[in-house]
Amino acid sequence: MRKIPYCFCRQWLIGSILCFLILLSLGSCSYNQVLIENADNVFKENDGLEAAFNQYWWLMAGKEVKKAFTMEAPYAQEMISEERYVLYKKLFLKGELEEIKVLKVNCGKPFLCCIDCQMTYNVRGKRQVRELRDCWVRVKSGWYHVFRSPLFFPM
Amino acid sequence: MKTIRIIVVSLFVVMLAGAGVYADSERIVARGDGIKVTAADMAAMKKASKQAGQPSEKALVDGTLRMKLFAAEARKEGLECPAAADKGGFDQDIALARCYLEACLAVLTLRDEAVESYYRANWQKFVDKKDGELQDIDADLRKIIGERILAAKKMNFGLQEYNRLCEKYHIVFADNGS
Repeated sequence: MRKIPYCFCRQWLIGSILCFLILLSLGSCSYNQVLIENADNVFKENDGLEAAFNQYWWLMAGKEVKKAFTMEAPYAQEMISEERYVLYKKLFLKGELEEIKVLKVNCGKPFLCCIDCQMTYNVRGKRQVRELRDCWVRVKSGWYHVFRSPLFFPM
Repeated sequence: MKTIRIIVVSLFVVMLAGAGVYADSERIVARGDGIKVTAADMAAMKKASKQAGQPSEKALVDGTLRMKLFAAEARKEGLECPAAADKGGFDQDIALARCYLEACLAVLTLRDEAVESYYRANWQKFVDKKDGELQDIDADLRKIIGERILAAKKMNFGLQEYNRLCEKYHIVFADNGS
């Protein structure tokens, strides 16, 4: 687990309260992210990966699917229409994303990293945990989400 | 006397039925700026499509409207279409719609990063089976990947363009349409 510095000074307390209020105001868009040691190191080695991963899932938590589409790998953006992507994602966005626990990050190639994570959703008051391997590809302009779907990309 | 009455009633019934058929063929299914799709258009489309099976009402409305919208755009842009020159009416619309789609597909392009990202995200597909080495992305491989992506893009184009034109022409569907 990532270590949280224990500094109970006034500034930290005020900062924490402010952060809490900001997160509270964002309502359903907020979710917790729990990282493991390996993830921290791999994220540091792969500049921009963590930010892209967080942004993508932040958008998904907020159900901003059209914006998330722009983060899909460029080839996927060309091969899938935005309308179909939105419809497809809506099928799987039934609940509220509450927490993402990153279990492991594996970069088999310098341009491709896969993040094993555990997603906790709140579906009509019931907690559901799903495991997911989320892959990311790097091109010149940055990291992009690899959209895997047997429907759109049958093997 | 009885026979005459039967004939008159029968004629009246036939006339009413004829009027009903005419009224139905003029029934507007969808309309927009300078565009309308009638039941007669749909019947003509069904006849022209030669599709196996029975298309749904929605598929038929969409198909007919798409054809009309594409033909309208072709006329608006003054697109050269030799195939439409010797045709008239519905057949001309179909020929113009085909020309429009072909002209649009011919100029579709890909972002460079589309090919690069496909190669990188699916690198396992490009490992040489003999030596297990990852193939370099040379011009030939770029072309192959590019064609694969472009084929999917072309498949999607028709639907995307249809949606765009529906908005552009402010298309409204009748309640009994789709």
